[in-house]
Amino acid sequence: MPILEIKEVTKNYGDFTAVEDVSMAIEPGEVYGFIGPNGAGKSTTIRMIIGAIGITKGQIFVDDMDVSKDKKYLSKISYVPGDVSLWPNLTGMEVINFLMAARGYKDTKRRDELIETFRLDPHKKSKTYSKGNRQKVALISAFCSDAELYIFDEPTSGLDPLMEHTFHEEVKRLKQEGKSVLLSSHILSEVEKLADRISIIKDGKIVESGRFSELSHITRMKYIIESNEDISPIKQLDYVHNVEEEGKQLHLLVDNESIPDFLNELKTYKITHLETEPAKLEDIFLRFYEASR
Amino acid sequence: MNYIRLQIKALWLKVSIWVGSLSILTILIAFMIGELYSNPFERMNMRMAMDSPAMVAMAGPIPPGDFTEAALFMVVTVLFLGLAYGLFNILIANQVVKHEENEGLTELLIASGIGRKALFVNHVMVGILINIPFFIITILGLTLVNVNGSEFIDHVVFISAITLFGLLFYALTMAIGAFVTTSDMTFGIALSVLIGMYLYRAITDVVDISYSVVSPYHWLSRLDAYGGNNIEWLIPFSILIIFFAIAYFVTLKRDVGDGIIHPKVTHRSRNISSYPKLLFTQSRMLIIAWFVALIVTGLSYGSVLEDIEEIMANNFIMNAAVQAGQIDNPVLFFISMISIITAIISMFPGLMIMGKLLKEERLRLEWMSAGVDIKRINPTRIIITHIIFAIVASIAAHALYAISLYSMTLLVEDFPTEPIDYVYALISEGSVIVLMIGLVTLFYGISYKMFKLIWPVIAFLFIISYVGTILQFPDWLLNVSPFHHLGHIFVDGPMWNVIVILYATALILMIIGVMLYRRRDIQNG
Repeated sequence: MPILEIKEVTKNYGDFTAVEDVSMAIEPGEVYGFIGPNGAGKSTTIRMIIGAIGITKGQIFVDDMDVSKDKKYLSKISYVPGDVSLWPNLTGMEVINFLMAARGYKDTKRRDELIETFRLDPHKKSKTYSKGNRQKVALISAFCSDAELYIFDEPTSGLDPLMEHTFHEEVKRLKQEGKSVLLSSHILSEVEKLADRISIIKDGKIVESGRFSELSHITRMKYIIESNEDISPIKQLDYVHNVEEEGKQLHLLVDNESIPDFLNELKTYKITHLETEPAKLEDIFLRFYEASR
Repeated sequence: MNYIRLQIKALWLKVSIWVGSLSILTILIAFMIGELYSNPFERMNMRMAMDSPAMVAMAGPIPPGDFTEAALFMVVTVLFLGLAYGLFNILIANQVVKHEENEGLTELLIASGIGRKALFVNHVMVGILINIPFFIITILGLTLVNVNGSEFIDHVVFISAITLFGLLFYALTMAIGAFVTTSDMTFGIALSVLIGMYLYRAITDVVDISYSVVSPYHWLSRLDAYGGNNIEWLIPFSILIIFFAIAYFVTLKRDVGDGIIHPKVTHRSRNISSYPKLLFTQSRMLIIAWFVALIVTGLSYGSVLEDIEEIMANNFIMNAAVQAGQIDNPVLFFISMISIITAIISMFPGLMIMGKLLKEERLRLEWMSAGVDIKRINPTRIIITHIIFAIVASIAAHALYAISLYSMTLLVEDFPTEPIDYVYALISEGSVIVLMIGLVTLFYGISYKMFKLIWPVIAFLFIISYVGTILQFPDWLLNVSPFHHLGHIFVDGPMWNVIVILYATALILMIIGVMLYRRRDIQNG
């Protein structure tokens, strides 16, 4: 049974449709990537999951509980927004303790461990914290819980690379413990590294979903080739894109389904250098968004 | 110059609402006084009524010359207009200077090539620009109304003083903002000075007016616009240049986003394990400040009680009312009136606690209420916690006023009140306090943005209670105020049927408000 199931959910604001017929399901122990640019509908979808806004059409279930009918499901989730506002006159420790108390979570050893791992000074007033430190307080508070589903909306936007790594380790730890994670992020390498499956949302609609490996049909392979001969005719091939010349080398992208044709074409030249790079999530993402430019 | 345009674009609506409201109100009062007090005999009565310690504490001293309609207009409006106009300037200065610095906008502007000196000059220019519309509109309006006893130059002197008073608090807010780190603290200190100076003047105007000279409100009174036009009393306002200079040097000396007065860096953690404890921590200073203000108000009114009996006995209006059988005891009548005004003031801590819901909803509610044990925290419990805190804070504030006033009555021989009278007053006026909290709950339940509607309602309530009788508002308008139906509590005693209806209405409004709030989307960001 999925821990989170979203069934054809739509959210309208007057005539404007922010999210339309969005569906997805997250299984226990799964990290699910949710990507899309600003305004695509990611945060609206998340706000419907956490019950902050109503659902115009469709249903959302958390651990088989309909979120519109029973708010008890809230104790099964833990949420960190992209931009965290803390109570300015409270110290980081007071905020963490308050949220732990609100969740009924009492493991202070784990709390202290996380404070240490994230290198937070918890005794400063929140108003003196930088964005990164506010984010750390929210993340520590979120990890200090017995939730089944963790929802992170741009969680590492204020963190330095070291703390990003710490966050990734904690997500992996959750996964090992059988917890589920919905990770909404702009940082595609992060999603690529952590997510088992992804959904790409565009203009309020899911345009692609699945395991990363399953999405290779829409990706392009990157090639770097070099030859003493004139290889410029390659640039004219229909399935070759984004050609850039760097010295004698050509950097180009080839549609996955046309790779055999491309390799046959290469045979006609005396290639002195050939490099390939696998498809990246960034390529998939850009492919969708470049199409609409 | 582009930055100024940007600021004007950001501020025009807020400035228009403030300037429009204050100008129209000022012009309207001038018009109504011209209509209602054209008879010198009526003005003489009014002068006698206003020349009592309690009224002097509230509205300032009566000018020595002829009590023309224009002079009456000045006495009725000057201090409250100053207070409201000072608040307007504090709000704008805090937003432009400190709030933007806290939000990182100042840093962004400096990074984009605007020098810190240029930025400071821009802030001063914004201060001057926001004061120009009120200056022009009000002078033009008053000139058109042309109340008897006034000349064009009188309007210029009067409105110049009010405008300078506002600019003084703009400069003061900038200076305070240069020292402290947050906009909340800047606003709190500036507002305390604005209210503190009013209360200080209230006491010293009654006890010994020579001490009032420290207060800018006193400069407004001593100006005697529409009388002597003592324009030398505009000179003390030049102190605003010193405030601007302090703001300039301190702002340039310190880092952007910083202050000279730093909060303690590390703190011992308190055990905040529930939302009520959290709200208490967040509201403590606000509640204490209002408690102190209400105690001081009670003591300051109480300090004049010894004389009030004698003055009231000689007061023509009161005597006439007594003879006509309208008032049995003018002192009790007057205490009832003051009690209504302080009940309105007591609403502020409660409404401000309700106002904290706005920030909580916009910034944290969504995050806070996701992933928690809903038996411990949920939006319904949060709003109910605010309602309970608001009621307790406001009623307690009013009770502290009553206690401090009553304690002062003990110093007056045979003062005609008993402790139970103050309890009845608290129960009676408490019904309107709770009703307003019910009304704001309803507004907030309907929409996040509707919350602000409560402030015009309170302003309306205040105007009706404060000048409704003086300006002889029609009955239907007076009837809109719930206080009107409660009568004069120390004279008439509690109107239990009205009290019960008001409490019941408040409860119904709260229930509807909470139900609507549960159904609507959370406002975020």
